[in-house]
Amino acid sequence: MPPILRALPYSDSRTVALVRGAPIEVLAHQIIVWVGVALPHERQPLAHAPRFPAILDTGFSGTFAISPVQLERWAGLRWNTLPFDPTFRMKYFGVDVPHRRANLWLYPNQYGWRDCIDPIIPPRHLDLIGGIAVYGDGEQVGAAATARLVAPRLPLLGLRALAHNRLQLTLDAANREVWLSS
Amino acid sequence: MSTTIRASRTEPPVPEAPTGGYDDLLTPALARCMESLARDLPQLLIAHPGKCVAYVDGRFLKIADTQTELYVLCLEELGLSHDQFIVTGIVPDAGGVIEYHPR
Repeated sequence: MPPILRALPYSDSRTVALVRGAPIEVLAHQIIVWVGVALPHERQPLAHAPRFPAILDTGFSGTFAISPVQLERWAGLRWNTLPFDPTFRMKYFGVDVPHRRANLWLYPNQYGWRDCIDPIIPPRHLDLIGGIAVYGDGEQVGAAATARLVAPRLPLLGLRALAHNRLQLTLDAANREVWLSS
Repeated sequence: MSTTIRASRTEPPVPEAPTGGYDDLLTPALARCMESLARDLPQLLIAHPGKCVAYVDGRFLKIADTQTELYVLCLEELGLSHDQFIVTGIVPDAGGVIEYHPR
């Protein structure tokens, strides 16, 4: 199976990514990958399924986290149409955040490019144990206390998601490149 | 910018009603599944580490390589609704809490 991420660059200064034509600021040393949300039983990505950037965050303990507004604007899904997943819960600043049943499509990059998706290699399906966390934007996504949680500025993809899918992550900090393969 | 709200291909989206607490989201069937998972997990970790498992109404259903195939089984082949079953990975903290403090 070909690598998913090949010499994926990240920058030592602020950059911009375009999501549905709108500029999104990416901070220095943030690793951006392009993903799509998959319904739990989805075996193929929908034609023209929306894709959007997420930060590959090695400090994030969960699978995937996204704000309700970004989920709706970028993935075309309302948070409360994704079923509750009881098999994991995220305790975020002491507040229980329910997980939602969903998986991810991870889009391969063109060699050496961050925001260019490889048109030949199909997206890799990431099985997410416990689904995804959706919180922030003033939404009550479970207990009342969830309404005061601050959303991640950009969606976060954690190492937990890579581990279950038996992926190998290589980070070349000297050259600011990331590789990901099976 | 227009946005299309995608729905499940097997059922229309049913927005979840606000709840008072986390545990209000847990239906009796889901609670039974979680109890069974907690009971079985030590043995599953020995016999099938890294695989995925499904329970329906508290009863063991199947082990598989991916969650997706178990979701397909539950939703499309058995016609279950999401509040009747669980699917999860066989990992040490399955059913547990992910602590996250970004600062």
